[in-house]
Amino acid sequence: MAKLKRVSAVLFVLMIAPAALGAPEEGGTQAHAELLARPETAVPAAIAAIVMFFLLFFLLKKMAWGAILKGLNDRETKIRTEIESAENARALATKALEDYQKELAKARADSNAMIQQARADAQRVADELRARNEAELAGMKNRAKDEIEAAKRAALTELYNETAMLSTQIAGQILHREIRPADHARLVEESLSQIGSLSRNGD
Amino acid sequence: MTGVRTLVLAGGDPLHHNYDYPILSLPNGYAILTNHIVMMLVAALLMLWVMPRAARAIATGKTGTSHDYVTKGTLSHLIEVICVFFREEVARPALGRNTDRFMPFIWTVFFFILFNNLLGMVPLLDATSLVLDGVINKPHAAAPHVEGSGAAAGFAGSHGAEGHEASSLAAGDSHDSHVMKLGPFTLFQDLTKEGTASHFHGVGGTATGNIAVTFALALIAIMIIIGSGLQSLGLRGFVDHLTLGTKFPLSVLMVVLEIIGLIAKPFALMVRLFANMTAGHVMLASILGFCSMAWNGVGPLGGVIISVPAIIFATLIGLLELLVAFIQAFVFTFLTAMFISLFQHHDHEHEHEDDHSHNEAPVQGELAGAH
Repeated sequence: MAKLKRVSAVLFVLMIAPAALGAPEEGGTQAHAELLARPETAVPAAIAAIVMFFLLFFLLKKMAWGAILKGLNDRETKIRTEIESAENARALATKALEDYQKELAKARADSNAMIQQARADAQRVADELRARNEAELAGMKNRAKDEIEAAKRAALTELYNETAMLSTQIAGQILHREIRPADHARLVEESLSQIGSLSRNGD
Repeated sequence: MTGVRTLVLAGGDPLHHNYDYPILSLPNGYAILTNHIVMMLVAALLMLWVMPRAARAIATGKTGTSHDYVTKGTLSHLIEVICVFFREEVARPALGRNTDRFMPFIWTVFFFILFNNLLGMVPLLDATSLVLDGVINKPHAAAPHVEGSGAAAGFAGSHGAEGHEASSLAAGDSHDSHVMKLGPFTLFQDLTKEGTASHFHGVGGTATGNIAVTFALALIAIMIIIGSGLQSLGLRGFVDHLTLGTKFPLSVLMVVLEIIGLIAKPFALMVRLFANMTAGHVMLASILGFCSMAWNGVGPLGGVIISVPAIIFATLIGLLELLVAFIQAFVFTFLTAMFISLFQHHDHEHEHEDDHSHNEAPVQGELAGAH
């Protein structure tokens, strides 16, 4: 700004200097409008203008305008194709994003289903296992019961046998009489069946 | 001091800058080289130097990379912007698909006129007058009541043997004291015949402020307008175009009117450019002329007092002239493009309608939105 001021100040001084130096008195202050179009200069000037213009036109057409036109057209095409390709790329990207999101959603749903499935499977397996265990346990319990029953029965039978034997011996001693083996067997048999029915009733 | 006097006197005759001074004339008086021809040559050479340089910067396909599409350099940018403006804003709306066919012509018209207008803004005439007046015309020769031989002697003194011949010829032709001879040719002429500092004028001025030059430019414009019209419409179509589609009795009147229009158009182009370019210089010369008038009238103090506002005002007018230089170059080019489009096939009207619907769509949208 300061430089501009300085330059304009110098210019100003230069411009008013002629006036300050003094103007001579002589000189034409009269305008000569007729000199604006003297045929002696107007005709050559017009011819020169036409010739020069067309020369300039053809020379510049070769040297400048062709290249400028081509440059402008190339730029236009370039910009248009760039915009088009950018739009295409954006459309592609949008589509890719949509696809990706769709796939992601699908994968999420799939994995959820799989987890659900696995959970159900596990539940089922667990249920099965529990059921089997329970069944086995029940079987074992039953078997044990049966065995106990059998053992009890066997023990009772033994006990009856022993009791019958003992009671027969006791009865024989009481009767002082030798019971014959056949009688003995019969007696045992009788008492056994008695005890058996008793015990069965007593159950 | 002579040069200074030249400068001051430049303001004496307000039209001083607008005369086309002969520099070299044939014996029959017709010039072969004038002030304005030199200025046009300078403009043409400048264009031949500047434009191809700009074109190289604008051109694509140099390296094959995307850097090709970047124009480098301020001047190239300026020229590219102007070229694009004329192509997209002036020519295309009027000429449609024919635009590129006319662009070289339109660009040449604009830049030729612009360069001449702007060169006219450079005070070359004053600068060259200072030099020529000082070198050729000895101070005593510029004295008010100098004889023709005195002027010639001054010339001979500085130009040796060649000048000697001129001197003798001038002496032999002494009834016209304001003519200098160079062999059979006349070298420089004092048009105003006042024997003042403008005796040996310099070179400069505005070629487009010469009505002969604007006449030539308008002639070129109308030649191209009619020529391209005939090419586009054919002779039949061109005549039909002149009737504006009217039937027999009326069509005669129409053709007459249209032919008058065809003459009026370039006439208007010629006068507009000439008047605008001349008026600015006359105004500048008149305002600056106040300086010497005041000096002569009321003395040194008055001269300085008047000079200050006069020069400020002249500077502002100079800036306005700079604007006018661009505007008039634009107007001439714009109207030429318009007139060319008047005589073209209007097969591009559909593009226009498309443009319209494009432009109106958002407006309708806004209206709909407002409701």
